[in-house]
Amino acid sequence: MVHADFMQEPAARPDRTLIAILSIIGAIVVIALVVVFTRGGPVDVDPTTPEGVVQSYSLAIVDGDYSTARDFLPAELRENCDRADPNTIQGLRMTVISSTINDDTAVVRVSMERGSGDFGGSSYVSEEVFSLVLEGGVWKIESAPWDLTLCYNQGIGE
Amino acid sequence: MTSMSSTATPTPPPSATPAVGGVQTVRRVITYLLLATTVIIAASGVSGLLDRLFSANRLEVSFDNYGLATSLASALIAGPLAAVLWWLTWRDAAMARDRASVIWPVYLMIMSTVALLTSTIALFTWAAEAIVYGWQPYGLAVGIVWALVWAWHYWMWRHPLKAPTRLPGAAPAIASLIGLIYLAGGLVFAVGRLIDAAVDALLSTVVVSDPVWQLVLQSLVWAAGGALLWWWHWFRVGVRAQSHGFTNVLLVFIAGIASYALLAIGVVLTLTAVLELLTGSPQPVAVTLDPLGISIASAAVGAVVLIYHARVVAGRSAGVRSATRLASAGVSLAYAASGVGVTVNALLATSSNSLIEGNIRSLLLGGLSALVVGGALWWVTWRPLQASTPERVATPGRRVYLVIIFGLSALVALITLLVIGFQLFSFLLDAGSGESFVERSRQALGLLTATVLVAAYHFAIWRNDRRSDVAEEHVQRIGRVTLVASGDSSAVVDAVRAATGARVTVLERADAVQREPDVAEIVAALDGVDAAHVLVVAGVKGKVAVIRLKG
Repeated sequence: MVHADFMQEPAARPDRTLIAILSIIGAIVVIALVVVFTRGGPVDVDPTTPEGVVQSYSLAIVDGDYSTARDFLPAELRENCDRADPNTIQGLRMTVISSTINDDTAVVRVSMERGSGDFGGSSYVSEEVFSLVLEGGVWKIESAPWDLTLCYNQGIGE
Repeated sequence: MTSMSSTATPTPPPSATPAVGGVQTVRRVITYLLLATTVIIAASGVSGLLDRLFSANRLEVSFDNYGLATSLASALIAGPLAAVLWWLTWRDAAMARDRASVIWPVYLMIMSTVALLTSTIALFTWAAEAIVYGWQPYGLAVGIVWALVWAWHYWMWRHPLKAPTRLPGAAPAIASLIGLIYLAGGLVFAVGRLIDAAVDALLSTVVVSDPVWQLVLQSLVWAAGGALLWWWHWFRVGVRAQSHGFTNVLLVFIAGIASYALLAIGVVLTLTAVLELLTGSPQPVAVTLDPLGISIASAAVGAVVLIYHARVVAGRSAGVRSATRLASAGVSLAYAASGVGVTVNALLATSSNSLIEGNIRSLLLGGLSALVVGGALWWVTWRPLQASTPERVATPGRRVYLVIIFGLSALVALITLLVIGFQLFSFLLDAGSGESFVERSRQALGLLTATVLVAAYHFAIWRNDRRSDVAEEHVQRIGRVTLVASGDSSAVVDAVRAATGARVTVLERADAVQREPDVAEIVAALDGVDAAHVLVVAGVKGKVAVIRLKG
């Protein structure tokens, strides 16, 4: 066959495009591998801020450490907690959308992505809200999204 | 006069008289619609009554008068009506008019497919349950009644005098596909459960489970039933040897798309699980290995189905071969592109400071597996290094393939841009953090990147094709051929169809002709003819008259 001959001229253009596209994909792959595998994990947010409390509380729930999680609830709720059924939470991802403080209450809006995330399709994203109250100078979780709720009566009282 | 289709399919002699249209068409539509409705209602009524009969001695309390009344009404009113309607349509006089109409095979195709699906699903479910709970007549009635309905339609489809003359082989082809799906699905589940059982035995994590042999046997019931169904239609009825358009489409779908996609998804998921194990995934091993059984089984079964059908495709026309190859290139491209999309998605996920990070690693590994597997398969099927050689540019169907890719790319781009735009505006109006925009639109951004890359590559190919001196790919120059010939002309019909791609109608001579022209002579006479409709008269002593017609 005479492959080598006509590889020169007419085939030049797609080959150049192919090389460009393959290098872009290669670059994306290398950067993604490096970044994903060298990152330490989620940043620890200052635990005195509302976001920090939300993070510590949610991590405790995800790890199944309910006694630690209980410490982030307001005193009244801690005493008469109507325990919710525990959830198993796999592959939860939570990002802060906004955090608003009004004197002694705060609202943290988060985007939560649930599901295994295998192949990107099987997960679903929703926007959820944590509300917090200031109790003795420390932020406490007043209400949480349903699958991170520890007590059924969470957020009802006051 | 031995054509290849004479092995098993009794191809009905192409009818001379096309069906009369006008009010007859409306009459046919209404008759067959009514027939289908009454048959379905009568079958459900009879199966309901039969079910009661089967479970009569097991009944302890019954106040279900309404149910019984419904079954009685369905069976006793719709049944006789169906019989009358069928008698009206099946009479010689009616069938002589309807036989060439397309509505008759469409009715048969829909009803036999519905009956086949209903009866096989009922029977296989019943058999799978019987393995666990033992003999239980309940549920068997539906399977039996619908199997009879199917057999009845099968008999009509193959009736020597009244079988439809249009859409030959469509219903058996669909039935063989259904059988193949049961067979492949049953095997995937059976093998997958065996592998899962082996993994579970190694990890010893399973606390509660049905016995493995039971689960495997239940899947094998479906596989065995599907195998029987497939074998019967594929070999006995002769779908394998058919060369009609419908069977070709089916073959391209099985060999180019379905088995290829099954194989690819199996390999992708297996590779993801292996990579997660190697990189030390944070989730428990049992969770990582959970999809392993089904993945390996899908890859293995997909490969077997692919290899078998690839050999069938190899014996087909150039058009079928190239369509299969292009379809599999498209499937691999879709896997590779979604792999790129997921990889970009995982990369963007690291840009925001999340409170809880989730499992970005497994997301990335899934994307990379799809990219690697899809990319490798694409490289083999599309062969990008020779993509612009003249013989490749002249491949039939190449432009159609490129146009489909552009169309799909445009569609994906439109959807992802809408999503990104929506997230952008809601971010601007809502005053969330900057991270939240990327966080909420990263899936769309990933897909958009992949789509742009795909479109850019194929656009370069397209431009190069336009500039190359290869002429337009083979165009169909004849729309319809009406052939006047005597005796069995199926070989000529197949040859003319293959050579020109035209639709062929045969008008059979009343009396035989001395030494008719042979197949090659007729095909040669059509060479270079360019018309929407051509009349071909196979005459005495090898003469062929080719007459162009208007419209």
